[in-house]
Amino acid sequence: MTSAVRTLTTTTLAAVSLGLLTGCGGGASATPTVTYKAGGESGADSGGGPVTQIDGTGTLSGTIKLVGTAPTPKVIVAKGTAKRDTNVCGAEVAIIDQSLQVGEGNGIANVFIYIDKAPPGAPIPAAPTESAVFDQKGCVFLPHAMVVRSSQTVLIKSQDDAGHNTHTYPGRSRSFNGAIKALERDGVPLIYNKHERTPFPVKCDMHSWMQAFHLALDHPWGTITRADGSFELKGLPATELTLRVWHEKAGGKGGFLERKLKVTIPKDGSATVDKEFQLSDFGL
Amino acid sequence: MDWAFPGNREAATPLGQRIDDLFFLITGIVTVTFIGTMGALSYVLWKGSKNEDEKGWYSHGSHNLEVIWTIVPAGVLLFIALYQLDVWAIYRVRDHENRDVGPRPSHLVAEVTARQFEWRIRYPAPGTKFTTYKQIKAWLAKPHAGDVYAVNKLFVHLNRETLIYLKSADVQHAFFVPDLRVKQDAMPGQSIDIWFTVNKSGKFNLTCAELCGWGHYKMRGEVEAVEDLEARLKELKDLQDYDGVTPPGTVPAGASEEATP
Amino acid sequence: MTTRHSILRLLALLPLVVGCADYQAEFVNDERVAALETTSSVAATNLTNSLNTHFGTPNALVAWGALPIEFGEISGTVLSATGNSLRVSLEGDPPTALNHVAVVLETKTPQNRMASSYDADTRILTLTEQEAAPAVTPGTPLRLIGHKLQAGRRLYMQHCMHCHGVTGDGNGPTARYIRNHRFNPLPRDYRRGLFKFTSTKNGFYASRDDLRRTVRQGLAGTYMPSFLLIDPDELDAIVEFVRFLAMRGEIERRLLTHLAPLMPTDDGDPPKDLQSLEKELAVDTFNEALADAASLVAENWTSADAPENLVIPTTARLPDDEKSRLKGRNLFISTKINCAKCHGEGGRGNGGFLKDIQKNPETQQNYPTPGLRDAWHKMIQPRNLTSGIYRGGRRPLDVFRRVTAGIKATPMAGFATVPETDRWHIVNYVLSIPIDGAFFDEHGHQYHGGDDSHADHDHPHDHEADKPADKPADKPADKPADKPADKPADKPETTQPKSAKDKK
Repeated sequence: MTSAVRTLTTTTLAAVSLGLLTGCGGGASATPTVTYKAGGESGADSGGGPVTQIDGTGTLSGTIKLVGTAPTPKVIVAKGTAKRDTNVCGAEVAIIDQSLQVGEGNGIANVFIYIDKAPPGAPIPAAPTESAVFDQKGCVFLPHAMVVRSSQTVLIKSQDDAGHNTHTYPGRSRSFNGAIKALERDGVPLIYNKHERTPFPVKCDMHSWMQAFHLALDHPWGTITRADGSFELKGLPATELTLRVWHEKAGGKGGFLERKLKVTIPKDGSATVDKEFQLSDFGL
Repeated sequence: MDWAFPGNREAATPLGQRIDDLFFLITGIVTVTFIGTMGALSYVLWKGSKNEDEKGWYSHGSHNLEVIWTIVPAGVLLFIALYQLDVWAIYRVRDHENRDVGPRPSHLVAEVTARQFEWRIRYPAPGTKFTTYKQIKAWLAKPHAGDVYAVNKLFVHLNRETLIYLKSADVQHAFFVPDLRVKQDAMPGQSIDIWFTVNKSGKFNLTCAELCGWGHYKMRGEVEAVEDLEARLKELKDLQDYDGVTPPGTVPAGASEEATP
Repeated sequence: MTTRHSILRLLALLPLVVGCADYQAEFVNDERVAALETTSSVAATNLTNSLNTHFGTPNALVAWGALPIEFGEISGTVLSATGNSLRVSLEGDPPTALNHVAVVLETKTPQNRMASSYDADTRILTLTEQEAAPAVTPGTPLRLIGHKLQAGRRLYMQHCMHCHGVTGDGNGPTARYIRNHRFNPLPRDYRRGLFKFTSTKNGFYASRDDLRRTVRQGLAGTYMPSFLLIDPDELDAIVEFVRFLAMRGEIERRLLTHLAPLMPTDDGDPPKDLQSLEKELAVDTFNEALADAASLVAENWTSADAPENLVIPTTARLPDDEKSRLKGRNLFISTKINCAKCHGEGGRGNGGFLKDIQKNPETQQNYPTPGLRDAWHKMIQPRNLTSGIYRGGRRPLDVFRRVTAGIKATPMAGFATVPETDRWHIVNYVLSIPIDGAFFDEHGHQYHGGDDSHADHDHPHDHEADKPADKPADKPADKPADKPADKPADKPETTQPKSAKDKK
């Protein structure tokens, strides 16, 4: 062979072998570096400093109304037409979509009105010792919306002669998925152990339309509107508060109607808040 | 995996040792032939390259030479073929199901199902004695009460014939235990019998020898030959029956005739 | 030498570069971060930066002390120091390779350095160069942190990454080949911190033992293989790295929930009050949200390992006889607890509830197709109890745990209020289904279903409830002549107690 071809062949062979031998560095066999970051860094942005006590309480009341005509709620299961568990689901009354319930005077029911974090310096009343009751009848949760104290026991009961399950989806607390047997009157205990920042759904996996919304707060200052859209919060700290107004159909899939509603509560007095929302706020 | 050559590690089954002997015999024959022919060829090349004046010698062929170098290799090959017949027969052809030769149904140890990328093992309930192959087939067909399940770790008899049935749950695999010189492809839809007698105690690597997917390289298991297989399986069964309260090995569930509360 | 030869020579060197590009593994962001980027790049940047600062990248990991992870910590003292070479005495049995682990020098304000190498014979620990690093005084205690995290990362990349992904999102290169089957479970996405097969109570996370069990035993009937032969130390390292990835994913999720008001609306428009929301969420309260997320995640994982959160029965398993199984069967099909509505009357996982359309709990919208969904919004089927495959383990204890605490992240609820004896009846029944059948005939005998309820039922017996006149007619008419099963010759002798149906 000519010397040129010979050199070429040798170089190629050398290059290929070198390539195969060096192979790919990195990847699985590389040793990553490790840097240490100590935990326990303070996340609180508000500095220290003395906190002034807020003394005195007041009341807040008001209404939440809808502007315009609410659509008729859909019938999910007409009376007597349930495919399964026909002895309970829709046996006595039809099961109707509860996601937007508008009562007399166009008041919106089941709107959550609450304070996110207790204002610093406000004395927080102790948690109630009695349990809250979360019931179900005719394959519908009662009540549809509920505010409880975190660490308060919620007893899940059932008036239905069929098995259900209750599956919660809290943001910060421990979740729960327990079966509720037929005619459970003692109640299955459930505790939300953390303060929640937004209401969350509670569902039954066995009956897919069954849904309710819970909110667990580490203070007592939260409530839901009644059927006529009115509400009342007592014992609020007498200071300027930032309220949150939440509804399960806001924006179409649940959210805040108002995220920062500022209200000043007069000491030993009462304040009023009346808000109106459009159909478009509910994605309609 | 440091098994590279039978000479480094002795086979752990008698048949494996015979296979190793055959291997060495054939290697010996082939080495002699190789040295002989390569030596002759090298000599001729060397001698020829040094010869610059003499013209090449043209031959019209030699009938005798042709005959010699046909008969001799044929004879050697025929010898090898006949010599290894017995080993082949024991390993592959022995028809065990209807004759008196071969493993007895009572030697059945386990059903091994190869699946991507692990070995799922099912032992019959400890104390089960199979007497006919029909019973074995019935047992292989579905799960039975008392079966003990394991994964990737197979216990077999020591110094006693072991019979296992190999199945595949998905694609072709191969049950390969190099130390035992055992290899058998697992075909989906078939239950293939494998038998061997392990005469050395220890743990042996089990690997998959039929490319079965991206995880083929990590489809490793372990075969352990134990003296008292019954006892070992009983231990596994007790662990499998653990109910969280009764310590394993005490009252077995289902044995009691007491009325249920 | 012509140019052609030179060019050919250069081309010959081309194979050198084949495959030699260093594979840079990177963590992948959650899908929503890209959407967040369009409305608020400040928020997206803060999010990715904080994840980077607290978790690092696969090649430059960060061991964050706020998390309950065993990074592999070795304590020691500095005996003497010359520049960056420290002669140290380390406690315990340090592994030989301590390259690139973090070194924390416990001076008055702890210094963070990095080890370049460690020689076990001379006990010299060489630190990497660091600008303006103060000299190290002898007697300073030090901690070497991270060798277990490194081992975990290396082993994870080798054994797990190809399915579970570099980020632990269940989207590795081979995960796509599992997608073909309708219900074949995909590789676990760790980023919710949810694992299905646990021994802990309802609402608690998976303990380390649960994760170890899954890796060692595999999950029968799925593509998760068993790594039985793995070294126990390597197993621990892998489990810690999986927890590391899970915690990283959870913190990312929680921060995204905190930043959710900044996400674009369904039409793709930015939200109202973007500026003020951005300042509030992505700047003012961001660090607080991060600290909150970290403490919640840490608490959840720590409580999972607490022994009081294990599900342990208080009564032993009831004897597995036909009476117990019949009770279990009756509980199974009763509408009081509704097992059969999901698992089906025959236990095949085809119950009536599968025909309903479920609602997505995150968006309150219906899913497009009927069927049950898991927490990752994938279709999931109730277990086919006739298969004999138990992914969480086949011991009576494991099935008891399934029934008591349910399966996390799935619709399988925990039946903790059903009395324990009833739960054991259900366990006995469930474990017997693959072998003896899911149904019971009018005499209370178990069978596999079909018209002939007396198939597999070939023994003379007295039915106390039957009137004597009925008995002769009972047997001959019921038994077909050619029944192959149950002939004495076909059953091997066994010293085990006979299966329940043979009891006379």
